[in-house]
Amino acid sequence: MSGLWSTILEAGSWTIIIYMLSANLIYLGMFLVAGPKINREKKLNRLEQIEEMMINKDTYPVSVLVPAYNEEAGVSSTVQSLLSLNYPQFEVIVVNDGSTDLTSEKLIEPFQMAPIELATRSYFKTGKLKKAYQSKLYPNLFLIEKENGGKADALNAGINFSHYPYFAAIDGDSVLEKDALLKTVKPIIDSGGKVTATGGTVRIANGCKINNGVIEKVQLPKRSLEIMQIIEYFRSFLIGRLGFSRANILLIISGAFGVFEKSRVIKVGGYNPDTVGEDMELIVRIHRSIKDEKSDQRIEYIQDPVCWTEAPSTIASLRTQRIRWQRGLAETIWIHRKMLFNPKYKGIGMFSMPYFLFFELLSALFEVMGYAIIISGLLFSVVDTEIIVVMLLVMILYGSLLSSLAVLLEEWTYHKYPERKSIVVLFIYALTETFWYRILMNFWRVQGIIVAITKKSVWGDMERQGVFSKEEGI
Amino acid sequence: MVDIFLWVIGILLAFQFILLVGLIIWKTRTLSADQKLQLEVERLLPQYRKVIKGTLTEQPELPAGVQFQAAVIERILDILMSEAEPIDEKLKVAELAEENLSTYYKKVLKKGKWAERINALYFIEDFRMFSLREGVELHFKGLRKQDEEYRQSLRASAILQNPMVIDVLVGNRMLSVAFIKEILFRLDENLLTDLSQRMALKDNASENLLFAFLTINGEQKNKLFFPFVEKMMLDERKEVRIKAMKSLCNYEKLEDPSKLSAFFKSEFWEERMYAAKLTGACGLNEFKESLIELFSDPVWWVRFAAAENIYGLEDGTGLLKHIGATSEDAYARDIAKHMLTRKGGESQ
Repeated sequence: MSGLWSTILEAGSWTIIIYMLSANLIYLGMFLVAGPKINREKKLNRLEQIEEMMINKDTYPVSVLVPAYNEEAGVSSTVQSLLSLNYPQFEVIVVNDGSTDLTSEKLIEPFQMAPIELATRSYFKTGKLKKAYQSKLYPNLFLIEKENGGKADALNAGINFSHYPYFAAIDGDSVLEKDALLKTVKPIIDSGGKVTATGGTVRIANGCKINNGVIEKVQLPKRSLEIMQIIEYFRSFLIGRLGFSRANILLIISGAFGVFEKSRVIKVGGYNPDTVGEDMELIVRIHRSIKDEKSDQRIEYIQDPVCWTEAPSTIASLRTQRIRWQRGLAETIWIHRKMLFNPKYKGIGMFSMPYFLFFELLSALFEVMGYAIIISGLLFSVVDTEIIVVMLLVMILYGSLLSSLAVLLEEWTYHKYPERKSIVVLFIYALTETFWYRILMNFWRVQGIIVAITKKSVWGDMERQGVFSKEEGI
Repeated sequence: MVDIFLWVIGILLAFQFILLVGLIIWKTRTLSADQKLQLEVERLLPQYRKVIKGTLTEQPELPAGVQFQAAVIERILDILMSEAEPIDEKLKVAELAEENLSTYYKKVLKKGKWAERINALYFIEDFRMFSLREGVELHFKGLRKQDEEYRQSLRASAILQNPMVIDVLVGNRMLSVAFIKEILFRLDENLLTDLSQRMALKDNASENLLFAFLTINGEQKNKLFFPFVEKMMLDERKEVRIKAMKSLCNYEKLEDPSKLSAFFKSEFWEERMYAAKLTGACGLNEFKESLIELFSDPVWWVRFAAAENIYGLEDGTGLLKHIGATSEDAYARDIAKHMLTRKGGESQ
């Protein structure tokens, strides 16, 4: 009997080793796709590149939508940063999605918002709109108050109210760099509308010095949990998204910041309020409609524009966020399961969707099984020690190598962290990822899968430290 | 087996260690180079300001090293170009750029890396370096991909008034309207006249070129081509008519307003919308009633344009109040009230 168990566990171990090596190789492949592009562009003068767009009448006007639910801590900074954007014509629409705190009040008084009559189109059905305001100080700032319906519903209401042909969706707890919108819209203009959606890089603002909605000094935070998320974001954006984008098979534009062609979003039915992964689900649906129409439109990620966002700083809030992300991923794949391995959807159906299913969604299950094998192997000596050592090594390599490469790409591109010390800190943290951070993530991601299957809502509001509310001048 | 993996992990750890050391060295060098550059710019900028103003006749001595020298003078001239007010100051900056950077840029265009070549092209354009006109043309002709380098070479050639640009605009049917506009904005009246003649002679220019030409004339309120644009308002192609009307909105002028009447009843909503916009832009009070009818249009954009443009007419606010209070159409009442509180729909 013990011989049979040993054989099963050994077979399982080898399956996990091969699986993880494959995942590692794919990610390494993406690094090889993303790396040359970043290397080629690293000395490009990005200011010169967008200089003319400020005065060019073809720089499409953009409606910036800010869905806000209980964002009293950061909404004012977000709006302040948006109003100072370098962009020729835009409007900012904050959608207060039935907040129970002082989100509206934080805007009404400082920005002198006065009530206006509502005459919106209704591309989508949304929760009832209650009131709308326009700022007397900034005529391009609007606030809509509606019944609570979730982020997707709030964004749909914002689209209904918006006036311009492109819209940018930005989280209420994020701030954009001054030129971010110009840089994100550039590929749309350069392509003559062939690019239908673009997303930029999102960075973590925790630890930075912020003043009036502007990041004045980029610094690393003190807490390990926050530093690890910084590395994770580097890896995800600079390797993952850039790699996918180059092959036009990008499945995610971060909910924190993305620009969309309004007519395309309307055509596909807007954001889906029935999933918590509304940002990814929308992109998959847009890809689907592009392929169904045999259109040559593209979705692109631009490594440059930076949106700074607040990362969860406690174990509880990070857990909440990751379970939610995993549930969103599972729901999106389930909704669009017909695209999986469907050659009609080319790279999306044959590569991106399977990648997300096997390596983003199910990898946590494999890794947790790996932990179980390692522990049981050590406790009961049922698996060959050599195999256990091999598994451990694979896990360490898997965790640290790509993170270190991501730090390299960050230095090549923006080197936003101005001190040498920060590289060393990031590097050391990258090496420790496997031993604690990755384990935490994997357990939460498995919980996310369970929650997606049981449809159990185990989370409430995400606790915020309020990095933008602690800033000077507010 | 374990030995092999231990070797692998050893190699990878060594690789990561080398990567870390390399990064630290790279970061140290970058930070020190940036600091050195900044210090030199701060030291030399006031002296170059005097050169531009004419209070200093001799150029200050630049630091050693071709690349560093180019980086310093490029940064200084870029700042000075953005500060320069009278035209002769801008000319002086261009003159200094020719003197200090033309040889360097020629070399970069020949042997530089992709990003360096594009940066050079940006500055050739910014500093109007006419001596490099042929060099940029040669470089452009050697390009195989239509990427940012292709576009920037064309922009630079256009600002240097190279007639070659006209051939490219007429010959390349893949260029977008927005990009063609960027090029046309850089061309002087002589080249634009050449282009219009080429377009009139040969009817095979792309529609994008025609659209861009119509649009930039409106945006520049170019009197020379106004009759051409107004004539296009009655073209048989819908898109051309719309682009012409959009351009005329920018001109804020219509020689023959009677041409507009039919558009209020057009089967295409875009034409009805532009009829409303043109009425507002040109202040054509005779179309007040037609505009009020458009408040009940089935298309939101048309209603919005009608409401937004009624402000340009006599007693626009009064009319909106009247519609908001008395119209039998609920949509018309809503849009009128919305517009009154939104102060003409102003968004920026």
